[in-house]
Amino acid sequence: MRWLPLALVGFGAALPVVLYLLHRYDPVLAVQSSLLLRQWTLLLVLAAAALSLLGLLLYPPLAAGLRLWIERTRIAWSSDRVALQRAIDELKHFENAQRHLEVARLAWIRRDFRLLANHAPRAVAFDGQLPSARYLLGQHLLENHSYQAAAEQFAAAERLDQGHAFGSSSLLCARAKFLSGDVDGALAAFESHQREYGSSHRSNFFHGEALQAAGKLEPARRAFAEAAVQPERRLTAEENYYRAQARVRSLRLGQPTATPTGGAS
Amino acid sequence: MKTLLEQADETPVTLLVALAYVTLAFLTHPFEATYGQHREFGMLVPMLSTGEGCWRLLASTFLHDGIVHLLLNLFGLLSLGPALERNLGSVRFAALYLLSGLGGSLACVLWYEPYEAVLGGSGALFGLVGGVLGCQMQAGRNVLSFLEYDGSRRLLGWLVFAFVLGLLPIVNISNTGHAGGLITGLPLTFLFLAPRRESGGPLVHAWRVTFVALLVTTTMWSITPVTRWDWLCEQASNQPIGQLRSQRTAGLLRAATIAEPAGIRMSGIGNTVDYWRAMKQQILEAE
Repeated sequence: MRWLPLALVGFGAALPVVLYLLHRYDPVLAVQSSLLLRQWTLLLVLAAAALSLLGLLLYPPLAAGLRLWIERTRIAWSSDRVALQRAIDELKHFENAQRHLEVARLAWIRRDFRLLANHAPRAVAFDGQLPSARYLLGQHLLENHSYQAAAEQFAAAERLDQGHAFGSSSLLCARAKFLSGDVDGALAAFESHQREYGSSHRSNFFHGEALQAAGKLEPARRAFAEAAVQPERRLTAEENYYRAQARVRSLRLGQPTATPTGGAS
Repeated sequence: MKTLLEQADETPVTLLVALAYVTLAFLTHPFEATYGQHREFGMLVPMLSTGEGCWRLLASTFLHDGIVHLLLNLFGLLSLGPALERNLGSVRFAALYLLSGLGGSLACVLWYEPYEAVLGGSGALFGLVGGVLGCQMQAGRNVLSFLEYDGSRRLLGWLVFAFVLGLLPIVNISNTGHAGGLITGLPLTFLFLAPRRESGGPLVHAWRVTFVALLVTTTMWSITPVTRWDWLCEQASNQPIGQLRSQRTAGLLRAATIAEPAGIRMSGIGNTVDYWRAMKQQILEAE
């Protein structure tokens, strides 16, 4: 996604060269190609605008996903570069787990996965007893689709500091287990998480997906219905996104036979 | 080389640009300037700016249409220029002015009809505004921190006001040129000219290469617009006499006919080449 604007600009830069080479070969072909490209670009832009508008009106996850992306971009762009640069400079003088962890933490806030990939493993290598380092390494592995390894790191973070990241460690451990194919392990982990920390729109959605994969449709419907409930307070962008996803799943799977009580506790 | 650059950095570029504005204004008689005089000194007309006429892409950024236009742009230049030049250094400031002016001219060449004329330094001045914003974005604690300051917000407000003013039919303002200057100056400063707080990753390097490529290829297209009907007519007419009935000439003429805008058929002047000849004559002979 980050490379899409660059790709578009690069295409614009290459176009005059391509048209010039076409012109050398056949001037008529160059003009016809240019006119065709103009027509198709206009059609594509209009179609994309119409589809986006339709999607925003009819498909809730699109609007919610856009809100989440805007929120993440705003946080990434407004995070303090001075602190990150200072942390990187300090690392040059002396390496230790805390300094790698600081860089990894700031990189995670900015969603700079390249920097996170460099420093999170180093923080864990220096000191494996830091729950935050394990947690950030788990996030990096999750982004990299190494689900089993991610589950191990989240489980380690939870062992070292129960309730780490406000229960997020436990929830993401369950999620990583599900994504790695261990559905039964994931279900047990989700139930354990719910007992310890309660539920949220995100946890209910993840739990619903695992239940659906295990073939337990009625509990899955209940979970999605719980996740889809509109609360009184305004949701964060992330919770709103999972609520939107749950609404679509509820629509597909149907409503549970019993009425849900609430979205989050 | 280093000494040469250091010496160049002491050149007062803002003052030189202001002198160029005033000198060219006096050469074109600021109180009774004519189309012919502007054309002679480098007014940007896409039809005349191809091939050997490419100097107009930059020359037009120093020309002004009348005393009011001159004074307004002088005011803008002298407001923004000195502080920005001290911040960036003279060499970088000169690069910013010239490349932003080029960006404004390229936008006009891409957007306007081949016979539409435009001149003025405001495309380059909007590039300087982009330069100020680019410096602030690089200097802050983060890319968006410049929005916390009143001065920056006022500058953005002024930009919006200027664009809205350009939409009014009663004033002859080229929003295209302004936009071209701004979208050249801002990334140019952000990517290359302003001192960076952090070393760029692969994405930043990729953007630098792409930006330079876009500027180069767009300039190349403005000088040889291979799909524009007037250039194709000119190429067909410039073929050696022995080649006038050749396949290449026929191809160029056919391409020109396909590329012609619909207005030509409504003008009643005949075919595309006749229309081009009439337009060119009109431009070259206008007083």
